[in-house]
Amino acid sequence: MEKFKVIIVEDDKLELKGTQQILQTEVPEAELIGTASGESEFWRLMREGQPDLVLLDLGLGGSTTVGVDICRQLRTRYADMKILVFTGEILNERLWVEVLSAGADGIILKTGNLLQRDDVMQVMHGRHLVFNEPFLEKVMARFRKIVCKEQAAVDAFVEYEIDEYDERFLRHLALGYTKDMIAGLRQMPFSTKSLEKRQVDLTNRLFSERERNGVNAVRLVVRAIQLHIIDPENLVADEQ
Amino acid sequence: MKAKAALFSILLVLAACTSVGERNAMSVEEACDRAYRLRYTDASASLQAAKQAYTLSEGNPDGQAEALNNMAYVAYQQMRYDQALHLLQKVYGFSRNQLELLCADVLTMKIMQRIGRGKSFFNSRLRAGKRIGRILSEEGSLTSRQKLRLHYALTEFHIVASTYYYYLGQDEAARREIDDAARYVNLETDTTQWLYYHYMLGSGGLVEGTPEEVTIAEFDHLIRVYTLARVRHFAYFEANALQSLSAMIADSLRADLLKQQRLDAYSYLYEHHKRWQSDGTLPSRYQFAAALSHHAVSLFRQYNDLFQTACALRTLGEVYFAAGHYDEALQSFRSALHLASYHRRSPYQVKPWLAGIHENLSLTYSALGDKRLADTHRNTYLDLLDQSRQNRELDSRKALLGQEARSEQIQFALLLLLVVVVVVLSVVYYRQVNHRSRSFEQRVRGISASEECQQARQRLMELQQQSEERLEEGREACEVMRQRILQQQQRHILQRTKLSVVYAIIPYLDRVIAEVKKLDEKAENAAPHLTYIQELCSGIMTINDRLTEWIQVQQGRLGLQVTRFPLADVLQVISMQQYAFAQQQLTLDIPETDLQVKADKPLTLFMVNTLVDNARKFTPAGGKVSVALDATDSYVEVSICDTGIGLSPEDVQTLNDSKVYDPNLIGTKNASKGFGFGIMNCKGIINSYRKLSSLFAVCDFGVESRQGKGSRFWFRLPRVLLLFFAVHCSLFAFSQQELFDSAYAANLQSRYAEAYQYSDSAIRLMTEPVDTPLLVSLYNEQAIAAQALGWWDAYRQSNAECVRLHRLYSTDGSLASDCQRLEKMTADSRVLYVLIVLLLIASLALFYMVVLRHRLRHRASLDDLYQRLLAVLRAFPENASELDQELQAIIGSLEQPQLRQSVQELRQMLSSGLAKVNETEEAAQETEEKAQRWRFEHDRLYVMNQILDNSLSTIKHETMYFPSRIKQMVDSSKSFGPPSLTLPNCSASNGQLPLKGETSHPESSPFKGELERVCGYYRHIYMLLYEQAQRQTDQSLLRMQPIAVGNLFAYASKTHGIVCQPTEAWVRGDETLLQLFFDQMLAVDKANAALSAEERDGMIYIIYNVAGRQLTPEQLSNLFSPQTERLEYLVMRQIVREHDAACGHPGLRLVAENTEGGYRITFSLQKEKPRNNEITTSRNNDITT
Repeated sequence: MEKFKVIIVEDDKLELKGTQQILQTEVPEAELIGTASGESEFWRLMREGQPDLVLLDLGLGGSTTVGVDICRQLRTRYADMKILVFTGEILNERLWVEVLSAGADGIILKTGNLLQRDDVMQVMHGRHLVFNEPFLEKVMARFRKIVCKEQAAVDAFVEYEIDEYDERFLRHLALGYTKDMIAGLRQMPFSTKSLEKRQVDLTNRLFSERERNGVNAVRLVVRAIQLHIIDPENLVADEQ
Repeated sequence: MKAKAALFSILLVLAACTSVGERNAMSVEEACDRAYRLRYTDASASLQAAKQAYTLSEGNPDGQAEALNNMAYVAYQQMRYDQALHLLQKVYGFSRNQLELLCADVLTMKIMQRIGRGKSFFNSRLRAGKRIGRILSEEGSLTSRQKLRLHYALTEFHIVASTYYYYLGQDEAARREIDDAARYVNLETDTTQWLYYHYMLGSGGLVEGTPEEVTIAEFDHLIRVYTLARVRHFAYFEANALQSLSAMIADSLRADLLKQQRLDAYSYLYEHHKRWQSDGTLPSRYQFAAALSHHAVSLFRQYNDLFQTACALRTLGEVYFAAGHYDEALQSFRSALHLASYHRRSPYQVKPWLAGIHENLSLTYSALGDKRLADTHRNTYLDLLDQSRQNRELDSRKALLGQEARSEQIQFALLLLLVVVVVVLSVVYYRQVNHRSRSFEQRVRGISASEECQQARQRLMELQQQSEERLEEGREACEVMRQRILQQQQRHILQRTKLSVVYAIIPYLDRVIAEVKKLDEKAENAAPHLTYIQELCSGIMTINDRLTEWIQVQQGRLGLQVTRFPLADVLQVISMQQYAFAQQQLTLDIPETDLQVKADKPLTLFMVNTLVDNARKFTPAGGKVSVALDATDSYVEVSICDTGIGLSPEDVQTLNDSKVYDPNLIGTKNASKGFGFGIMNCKGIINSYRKLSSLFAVCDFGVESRQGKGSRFWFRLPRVLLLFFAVHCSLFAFSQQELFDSAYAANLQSRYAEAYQYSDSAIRLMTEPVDTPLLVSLYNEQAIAAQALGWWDAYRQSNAECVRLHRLYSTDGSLASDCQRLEKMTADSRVLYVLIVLLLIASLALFYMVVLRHRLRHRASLDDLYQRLLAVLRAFPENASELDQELQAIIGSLEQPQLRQSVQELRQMLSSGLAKVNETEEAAQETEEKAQRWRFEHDRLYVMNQILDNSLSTIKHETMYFPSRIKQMVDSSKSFGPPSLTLPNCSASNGQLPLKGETSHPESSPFKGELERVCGYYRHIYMLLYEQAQRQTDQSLLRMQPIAVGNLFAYASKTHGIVCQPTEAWVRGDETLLQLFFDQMLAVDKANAALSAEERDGMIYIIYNVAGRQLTPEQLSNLFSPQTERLEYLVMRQIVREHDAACGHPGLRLVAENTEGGYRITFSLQKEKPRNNEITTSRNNDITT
């Protein structure tokens, strides 16, 4: 590949040294045209010469998240410039989302194998969402959780023999409908009385014999949410 | 002639008859006089003479009455009170002789006084008083013998009354009575009464003056009695005088004074009693006193007076006791008790007398070390006291009774007056009835000016005042809590700052690990990597050093809030979780306790709560979680036991022995995790106690568990029983009741010194209003303790107080009986008077009803209205809503508009006043709740900070040596090539830690493998501890609100005297933290500095310009990094960072740069629209979100 110009934005001298070493030894195509330890210094560099890649640390001195703002401004001014965030914020997940929204092409966490040739090259080849392994591990953990939750809902339907009417009944209970109101729904061909029976029946299914005592509609709904039978983030009433 | 002779013979017979009658009468009088004379010389001879007089006086009721009186007197002397009363009853049955009846009354008084029947005493006294009045009005017609008899009765009357008051503790009344007696005493005409009078004065309590004067005066009285009684053979008074003298001489102070001032009499007495001095081992003064008592005992024995003999024996015993001869004392007291036992079965017991003997026995047994018998006698003593108290209770209302008797006559006069007044009034009333109804109307209209209305208003004002005080107190409490929360907040931000420094190591560490991985690529390329590792290690060490420094600085002012508190307070909060437990079908068992510990209260609550919570999580439904307390003298062990799944032996070992472990791995064998952090924190807290002071050396923490059976987590806190501490702390922590309980418990457990201290503190703490029953009990406990300790003086003091209060104390329950008594007293004549009055009123009423019915009705309705209004006013403000309804009903029923308006105004006044009170009350309650909430908030922050403290110091201790270790390894490898190293130390504590770096490549060198291992372990343990600490900070600390920058500048200029440019800007932020920001910034450097603010790109930039100094490039680049010289800059960075996070990461700046001839620090905050200033300040006061 052709040579490309790089600016490193890093406030810690010792870390900067390490990053420079990595670039030198692993990415010989990279031509370092400058390093900046602060915001004003960086913009001065930018005026002197435009790089192809900015390796951006998020925290600079006392301004611990200024990188997000720098990233946003860079993306507005230079739409094609590659921005790779290289940060020690290995626990602040919210900051990752912010900086990706601000237009960063990828995030490399300063842990594990740190920055590798592959990461830089992928960004230079125009790939977005370039992440190193520790980052992906975190994303996977979250992803796994969500998938498992969805699976748990499927399992619960099977295990507790929930049919669509049970689901609809519980969902509307959660929305604060009375049994009379639920009985009035178009897709609920039941009388209030049989809904009451259904509630008792559901209680028997969702609670063990010991736990059943004193279970009311609220506890029933809470249990349904805990078992992922209804999804609190997706509570919508059916048409009347 | 015959007729003459017959007449003469009749006259002769008559004369003979008369002379026989006179001779009989003479001998009756003689026998009576003899009986009277002998009563204090020889009781049985006196009785015989009286009996003789009785036989002789058949058909002569006056003589019979006197004889019976004399017989009764002897019976009284010999303690046959039932018999004496029986004889007196006979006198009342037949005699009309007022003088003899008076004598009978007086004797009854005397008996009643002795057996402690206050009510009967006063009945007799009242009777006697009336009789005295009657007799004195006809005094001129009395014979000289009758006069003597009257004087006897009068002296006796007053002396008995005096004795009665003396024992009741009313010294004033007792002195008054004895002074009255003095008027009738005469040595020539009646020696016995003269002796009696002087003996009374000499026996104590009735002479006024300095202690010295009293002693001398009493001694003089007694010597007078003694000498005269000796000469005239009045054994009774001789013995009494001796007994009192003995008690006087046994008292060293008084004896010395007598030796100084009355040497003659003293030596005279001494010489006279040489032969009675038997016991050579006693000190001479006691020997002398004992001799006097011995003599008294023998005289009383001869005289055959059970009561006095026992008294004299008691005095003798007391002399021995004072001399320390407990065995002899015991003997005397037991003899006294033996004598008293004859009297036990009598229906009329002399309780104080028996009580005194038991008290002395209790003391003596205690001195001899027989605690059981001492307690038995003390209990008998207290029971007897209690029984006699019940009688005395009634007595204390004597004044009331006296008044009642006097007012009976006044009432009769008043009744007559009333009848006249009613008649007069009725006439006036007839004429003025129209005028009166008008005045009634006036009265209703002027209701607002009535006294009841004033009082209601007054009550309303008082209520208002109370509410306001409550509100004020609540506000003060809030202010205190607010200050404390602010302190904790500031402390917390410092902790967060330190944590950020801790975190700053992690990127370095990750770099080290990445570098180590690259080591084996090519040997010749290793050098730059090794150098870089070395540099990184130095960087880590620099940060570590900074951290250590800051943690140590902070530890100097370590803030454990150690107080003494009852564990029940903590357990009560825990027991609120009952519901959560019940939801999981678990039982939560919390014991009741009065144990107190010395510890940090919020932290103790945190610990118990954490452990109970853990137990709940790991106990299956149907199980039980219980808190148990186990106390020794030095500590209380709090255990939290469950019937849960339990822990494996390895886990138990880890929890008990390791300082650091991976909490996530605890309990993994049971497929449920998460035990560890809480327990690590608990251990940390216990350790920080131990570090604080040696007092907390008993603190400990431990775990016991069996898999499947359940676990027991326990910790120990010091139970402090240091007395001075208790006294000191009790001011804040104890109620007197608790102290009493402690004293009682201490006495039970034979910790007498403690019991004494506890009761002493409680008595001293006793404030108005005094809780008399509690005070009595406290003095009792103190007396018991003093007795057991052998502190006789202290005992006497406490016991005297106990008895005095015991006597004074009377409950309201006796009111009912008072009323009954009053009813009985007035039953006879006054009922009649009342009936007359009623009839009078009824006839008058009937008359008026017929004549002026409609007017009366009008008047009555007005009066009723007025009364209803008054009733409303009196009841106000109880049941305010009902009262308001009543007023409304009244308004509705009124026809006259003027009246209606007055009542309307009244209603308005009351309801608006009450509304105001309610408003204040509500505000007060709200404030109290707020204070409560803030207390909770404070405790939460405080616990968080405390745990962070522990976590930080654990991080420091557990990871400090790693960087230097790594550096050392690298150093030596650079100099000598890669050596094969073994790891020191770290393997000792890592038994339970699986290391991430452990799976190193088989081909890699052993050096690299070791290095990877150390680094991997280091990072693992570091992250673990960091995350533990991080958990304490996951909640945002900030309370974001709009703030005028001008306010912040005003703060900076006021607190730090800094020059500020005026500004209109508003920002979004946490005022406390921003103030702290300025504090930190200006603490570093504030000479020639100025503050200004400007707006750029939707942000407010606050600029801090310093002139005359510049920062070096080194300083500039490191100013906000962990390598900085001042922690303050990091705190500033942390504050800006927190604001950034709270605003959604707009990228807030904090930049330092040099300017021409100076430097400046700029930081940005999010802009906010300007607000009304007042609203903000009021919101600032409310910390709660």
